[in-house]
Amino acid sequence: MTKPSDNKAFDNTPRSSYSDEALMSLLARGEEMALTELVQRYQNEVFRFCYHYLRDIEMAKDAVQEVFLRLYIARDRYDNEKSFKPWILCIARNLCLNELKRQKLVHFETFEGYVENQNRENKGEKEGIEAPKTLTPFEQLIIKEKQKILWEELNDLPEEAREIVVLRYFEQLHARDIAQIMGSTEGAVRTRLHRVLKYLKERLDARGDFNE
Amino acid sequence: MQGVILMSSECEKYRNLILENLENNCEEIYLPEHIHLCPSCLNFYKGVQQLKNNLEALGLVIKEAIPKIDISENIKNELKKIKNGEIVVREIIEREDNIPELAEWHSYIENEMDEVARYRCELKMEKSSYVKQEIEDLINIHHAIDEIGSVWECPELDEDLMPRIMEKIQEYKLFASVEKSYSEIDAIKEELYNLSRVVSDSIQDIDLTLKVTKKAREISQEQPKKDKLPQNIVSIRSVREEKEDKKYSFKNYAIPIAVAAVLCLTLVGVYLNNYFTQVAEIKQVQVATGDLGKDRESSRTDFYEKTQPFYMNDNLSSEEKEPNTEKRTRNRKNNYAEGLLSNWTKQLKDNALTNAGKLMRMGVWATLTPEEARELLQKSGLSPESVLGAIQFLPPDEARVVLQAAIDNNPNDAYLRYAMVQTLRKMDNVSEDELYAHLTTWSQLDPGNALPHFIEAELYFQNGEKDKALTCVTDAGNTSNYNSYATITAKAYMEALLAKGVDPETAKLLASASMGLHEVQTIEEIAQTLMDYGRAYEEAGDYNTALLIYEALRSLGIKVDMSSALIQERLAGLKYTQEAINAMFRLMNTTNSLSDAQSLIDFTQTLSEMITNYNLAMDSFYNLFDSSDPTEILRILNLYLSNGNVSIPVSPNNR
Repeated sequence: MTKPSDNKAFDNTPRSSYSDEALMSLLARGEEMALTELVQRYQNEVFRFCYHYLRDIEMAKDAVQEVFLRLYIARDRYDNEKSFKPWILCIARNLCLNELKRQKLVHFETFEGYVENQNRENKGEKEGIEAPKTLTPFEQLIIKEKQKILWEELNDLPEEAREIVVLRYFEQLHARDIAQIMGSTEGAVRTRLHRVLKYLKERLDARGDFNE
Repeated sequence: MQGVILMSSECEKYRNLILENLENNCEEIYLPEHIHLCPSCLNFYKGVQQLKNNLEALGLVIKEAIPKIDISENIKNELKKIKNGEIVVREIIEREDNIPELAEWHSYIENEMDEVARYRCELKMEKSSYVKQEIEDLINIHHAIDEIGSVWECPELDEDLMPRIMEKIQEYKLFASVEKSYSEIDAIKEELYNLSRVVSDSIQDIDLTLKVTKKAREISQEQPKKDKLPQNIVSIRSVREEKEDKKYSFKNYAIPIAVAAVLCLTLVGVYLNNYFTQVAEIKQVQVATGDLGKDRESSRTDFYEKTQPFYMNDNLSSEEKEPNTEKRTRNRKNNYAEGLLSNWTKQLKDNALTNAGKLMRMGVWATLTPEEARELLQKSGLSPESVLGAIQFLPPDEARVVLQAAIDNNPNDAYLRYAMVQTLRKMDNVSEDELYAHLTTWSQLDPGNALPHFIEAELYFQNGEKDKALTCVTDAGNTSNYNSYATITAKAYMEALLAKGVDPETAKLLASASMGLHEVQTIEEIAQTLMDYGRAYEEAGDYNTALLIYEALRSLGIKVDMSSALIQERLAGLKYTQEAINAMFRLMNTTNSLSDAQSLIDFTQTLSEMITNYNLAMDSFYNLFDSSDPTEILRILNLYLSNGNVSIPVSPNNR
């Protein structure tokens, strides 16, 4: 990936070819087109991230604007050695948590709304997901039932556990990035994830209907 | 020790030689002569040889008795195993003193481990069916959640947020810029305040500061604000009281600035020359004769033209020929103070100490009592300026009579209308119709001047007539300048002092010092009224009206800054321009309608440049005290007092 430099050829390089970190360097030097590029790259991702926390589309939109404003304000303080995506998501997380606190809303609501948003029609088209047509109707029914059970248990997770589940499984973030977003270590994140799985297992074992 | 044969040093030497060459199997015949001749050494040699032979024989016996062992292959194999690490790892893991941690188990579940760590987990699972089953269950749950998460779709972002983000950033930039501007103007205010305080402190022995300041305050207090709150749409009293409590309000430091200016002149020892002989030549008139306005205007014109500053003489003729009335009026205004001070520069006083007595009396001479003013007006041969100056010291009802007489004879004099309006505003039981009539006439006589419209708007606001007030505000916005007639008022004040008998030097200093004090107060009152009513409408939810009022306030600030001759007024204009912009942004933010933000951003840039200019002015003002050249000091003071701008780079000497 091209790195920013001071030569003139740099100015002619399309902004889309720059890495996120390089664009931040440009922004710090006053090139506001870099901000445009970053917004185009990340507005959907930041919106999705904020939506997990806020569960309101308009609030999430406002949060996205605020996140990029904070990015702009902090452009001089950005450390190019650090990865950009976890950094901006960390800003988004802090902003969302503050907003929830300000509005006295529950930190990370349950997953109930998620079930409605789940697009099951596209399920088979997703990469890595077993196509439903290879399963018998009975097997499909079992999978559905199991997912329903799992949703119920996910809803009962403690707030902090829900957050880490969302970041890992819904946002598909790596433990290393989650650690950076949450201000923790990779080992601690993995430990927490493992504990969440064990907690779920205990709950599912206690129900007795998940592993049948 | 007797009977013991002591070994000689020679024997010791040869015995060491025998031991050293023991392995060489040296034959006896080749031994040194000493060994052969010394029985003791010979015996030593034979004993050593015998011992050597015995040991060699023993060695052979042992060698035959022990079986041959070859461990080299074993070592090679072990080293190979160690190199692979497998055995070592296995042994360590099998000792079970390093079981996988939770984080490692999760890495195993997510298949993100290196081979060694994976082996350790698998070994543990091999040893425990329970662990194995648990991990397999966790893997299943992991995959199940992963499947749910990857299939889940977030509600889509239904619009491109780029414009809103950019708008937000522009808003931030503007706020940052305004904040910076605020801090800069605050710094200027603080510097001005400190400057005047330092100067005041430095001449406590003359003890003039308090008296002049007191006089200035008295003047300020002579204009009690009409209390018409019951008729107002909202109460703004508390807001005003709060504002007045601000530590460094403009009103607080405007007076010390003026005092500082006077005292600076005092410090450099300036005194007046025969300038007042020119004044004495002005045609004298009586108020009652009906020639006041006309003669006053003509004498004022003569005076301005006669007192061109010395560095403007070259341009005088062309200026006089300038047909543009407005320009000529502006020149008059500027030339007045310049004329005064240009004469001062010719005679720098070296006997400041001899004037100390005069300066001590200045506080007494600075004012006229109403009685003195009345006596003065009884005199014949007063100049029109003297009459107008004397009116300033009369009670409003008496001043009104004199002014009305002057207006009757000179109905087309804008300054008389201004003076009448200001006088009527001080009175409690005045007919509003009369006041509005004078205001209307005044604005017709001076159509480019925003001041009458703003005063009228203020009055309408106070009477709760919002629509009329807004009309006036709009009219004010359509004017081209702001003229508070500060120099004319100051000159009239000086003339009154002269007529009273105050010596010219003192009268001129006091007139210069008081210049702008009334006028700044007027700006403060108008601006504060607009700000208070704007906020009141804003709080009431009438955002359009509030925005209109804030826009008017901004317009007022701009006009003052662009038109005024005095730095006090211009700084007040700057201050309220900033407050208006701030209020407009607050309003736009509240109503979420930042469509006009760009124009405000542009204007803030202009404002920033203006503040930079004032910073330069402040630098020049400080140079006043650093300079050792009295001429330069006076040049700067001249510029300061005449047109408020001390950053004009052209030296008068260079002209």
